Amino acid sequence: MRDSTLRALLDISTRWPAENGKIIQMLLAISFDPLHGGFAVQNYLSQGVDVELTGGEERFALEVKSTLGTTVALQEKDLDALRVKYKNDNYIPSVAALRLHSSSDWVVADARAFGIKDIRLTPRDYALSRLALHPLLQLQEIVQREFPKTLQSLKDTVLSPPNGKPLEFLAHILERDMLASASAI
Amino acid sequence: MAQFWIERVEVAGFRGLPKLLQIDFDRAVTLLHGDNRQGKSSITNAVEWCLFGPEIAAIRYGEIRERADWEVRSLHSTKCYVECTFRSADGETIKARRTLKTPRTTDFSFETQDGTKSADDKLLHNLLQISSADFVSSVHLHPEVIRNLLVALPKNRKEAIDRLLGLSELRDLEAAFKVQKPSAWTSKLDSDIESLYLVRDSRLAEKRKTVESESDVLLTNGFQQPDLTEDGAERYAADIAARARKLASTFQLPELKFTEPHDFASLQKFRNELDGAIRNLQAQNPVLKNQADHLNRKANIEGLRSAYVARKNAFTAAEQELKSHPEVRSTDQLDAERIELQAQSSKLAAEMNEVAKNATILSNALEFFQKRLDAELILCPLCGQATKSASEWRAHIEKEIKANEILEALQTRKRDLDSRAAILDAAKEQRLALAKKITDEKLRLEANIDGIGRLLERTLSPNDDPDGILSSEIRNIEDDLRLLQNQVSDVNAGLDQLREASQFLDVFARLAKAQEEIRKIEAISSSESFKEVMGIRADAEQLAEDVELLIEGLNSATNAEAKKRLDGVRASISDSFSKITARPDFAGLQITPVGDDYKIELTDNAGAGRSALPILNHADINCAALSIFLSLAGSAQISHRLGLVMLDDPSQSLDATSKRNLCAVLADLCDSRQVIVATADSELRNEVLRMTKKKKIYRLSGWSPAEGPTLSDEPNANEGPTTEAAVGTDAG
Repeated sequence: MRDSTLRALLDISTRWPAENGKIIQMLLAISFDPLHGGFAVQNYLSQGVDVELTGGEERFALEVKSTLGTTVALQEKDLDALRVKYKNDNYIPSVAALRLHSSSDWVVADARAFGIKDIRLTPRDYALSRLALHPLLQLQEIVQREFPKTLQSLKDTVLSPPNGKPLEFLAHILERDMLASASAI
Repeated sequence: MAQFWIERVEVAGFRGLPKLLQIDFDRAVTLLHGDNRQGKSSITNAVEWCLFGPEIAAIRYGEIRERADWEVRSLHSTKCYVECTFRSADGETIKARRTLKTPRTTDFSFETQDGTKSADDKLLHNLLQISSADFVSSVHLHPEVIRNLLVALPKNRKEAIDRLLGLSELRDLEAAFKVQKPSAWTSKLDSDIESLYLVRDSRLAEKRKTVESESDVLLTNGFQQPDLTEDGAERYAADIAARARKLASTFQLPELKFTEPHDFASLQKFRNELDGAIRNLQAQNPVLKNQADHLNRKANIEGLRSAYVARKNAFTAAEQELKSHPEVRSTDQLDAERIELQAQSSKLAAEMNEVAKNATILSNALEFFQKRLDAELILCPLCGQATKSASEWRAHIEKEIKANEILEALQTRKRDLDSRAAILDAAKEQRLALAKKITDEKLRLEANIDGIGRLLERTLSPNDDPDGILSSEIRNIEDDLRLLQNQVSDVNAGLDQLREASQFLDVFARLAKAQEEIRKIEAISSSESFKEVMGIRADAEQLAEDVELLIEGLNSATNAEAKKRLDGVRASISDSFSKITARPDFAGLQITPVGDDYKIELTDNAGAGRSALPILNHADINCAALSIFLSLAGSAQISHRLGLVMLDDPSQSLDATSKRNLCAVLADLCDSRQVIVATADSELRNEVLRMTKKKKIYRLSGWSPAEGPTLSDEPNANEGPTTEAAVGTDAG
């Protein structure tokens, strides 16, 4: 990723160490929203999958992970949530992972991996490079393109949100984008 | 296809059998009976070694190391070979022979009845459709397998069951992949790449710091951010070149020689040449030279002026000295007066001479009369007439002498005259000296004025005021010098500004270099080499994933195979176990693969299962091992063509009843398999003797290191059907 992107992420991580993961998830969700990535976005902060994307006939369920290291831990509950969306609602299960490092960029991996009727992934630590073997290019290209822009446009406010609550601010942005898109229709 | 059983074994020099030993296996049951260390196991091992050679010794079945690093050749034999003759129910025979060549290599050959010969043991394995894994799982029950079941450590037990199921090879393959830790491959690669990134990021940070500091230098010196580019540097260099030309033109300096900057790469050359040109100009600056000339001229003129003033003063002083001299008469007057004084002096001298003569006479006369007596009458010496006494004469002469005292006055007058003459002479001399001094000073002054004229390159008239002229000239020079000083100052300031300005080109150069290095470092990520490295990294990741999949696949396949094999013999295992143990409480034994392990359950009479291991004693576990082995060995689904079962020390921990029951199961097995039992257990021997099958019992005894065992047939053992009759003619 670009140096400016990394610096912004590290600044946010330093400013909001507890909320950092969810902030990145929100920024990712906004990067996919109708005004950026062209998807209808449903973001969840507490249960089930992290993000749901709907665009035309395609639907994606995303588990979002960020790390300073080279691996991300996928737990049973993460995979269960993906599995439910996959089997019950025919969402494409995927894992969006970002390492906060200059050598890395977003990886959006297809959790099905080999196309069998269950997600391929099992609960354990996954090297991002392993996840990168099974990219969902359609999403990965969007997030790699849009996320830096979203981050740069919102980072100052995320660092100093009006009400001191960055997640509320980002939720407001996502809601605004969704409404703007709906109005346009 | 018909199955083969073993008809004869000929062995020499193999492990505990140093001498030639020929053993016929022509009965349904063969019992090799003898105390421990009599060579029983060597006989059963000889069969598998003949078939599989070093391969069987190299096999590692988990923790089971029964043949690891075994000594094949007897220490008391120079040769080592085993020859086995196999015969099928339809009369086909195969004779296989393996000879130890080196401790790790063998020569193998086999020959079939139809004359086929081969040195390839794999061909024989194909012919018999058997692998070493099949052999150790369903032909040769080794005591170590039973011991591992008895040890009851879950891992060892699992391996032992795997071994009995013939799955050790698959498990070992899986373990061999696992031990490679595919994830570690990419972790190490990640770590190495991480190190590369750390170096890259460190260099980038260093270069960015350079860019920042150099940019700050430029920005604080009036440059604008948009100027901090190569184009900006080129524009700046062009501006410096223009300023240099203008400076030279303004001060009429020689042209500053440098190559005009035409692109960024030429800036350093331009900067060096400009610097050199500035140094040369400062060393040979015509304005400075002019200034030096002026200063020299001014010094010369000031020197002349000082000399002139000194000369003029000296001349004036000389004149003033003459004027102020007390003697105001002229030389001529002095000369005339001197002549007059001379004349007077001469006259006085004559008078004085005359007086002096008389005085001498009188003096002489006085002296004469003084020498006479006073009364003596003496004629006048002059006139000779008058006669006077000496005293009278003396008085007369003294009177005359007194009259001659005028000489002193004359002498005084003369001295006065001489003194006056000397004064006149001195005055004249002084005046002459002063006049000469004036002349000399005048000459010097004139020479000085001539020098001034030459320096000024003009002829000075007597009316000219050299001092004024020189002072005026000095003022002119000083005016010129002031002008020159301003010029020098301006030129130097201009050159210093150029030099200072050109130093920013160095800053631009360092800035551009750092920016270029940043571009290069950043470009590493998109370079072909980097992509290649990342490609390798992705390939390694793919390989690791593939291997992990392979491990999973092997695991699944092994578990599936275990399930399949156990499913095929599930009833038989339970039945055999029930028969051998004859437990009243549990009717059967169920072994079920669960994940990577096996669940061993006893089934009660109602069909309910209970975990077996907390219930089973050692003997029961041995029975379980025997049940599994014998069920697999006797399975109709067995795929190989060896209708042979070898049990080495099968009665571990069994009581007499179990041994009898075991023999009953073996008797059933004899319907389809040739059975060879090696044991030191006399109870088992007796139970075998009770079997109704035709059997042969060999007694092994008297073993010595050099001679090995003595092999003898036991009497009354050859009862029951022959091998051929018992086993049947077709294993299928």
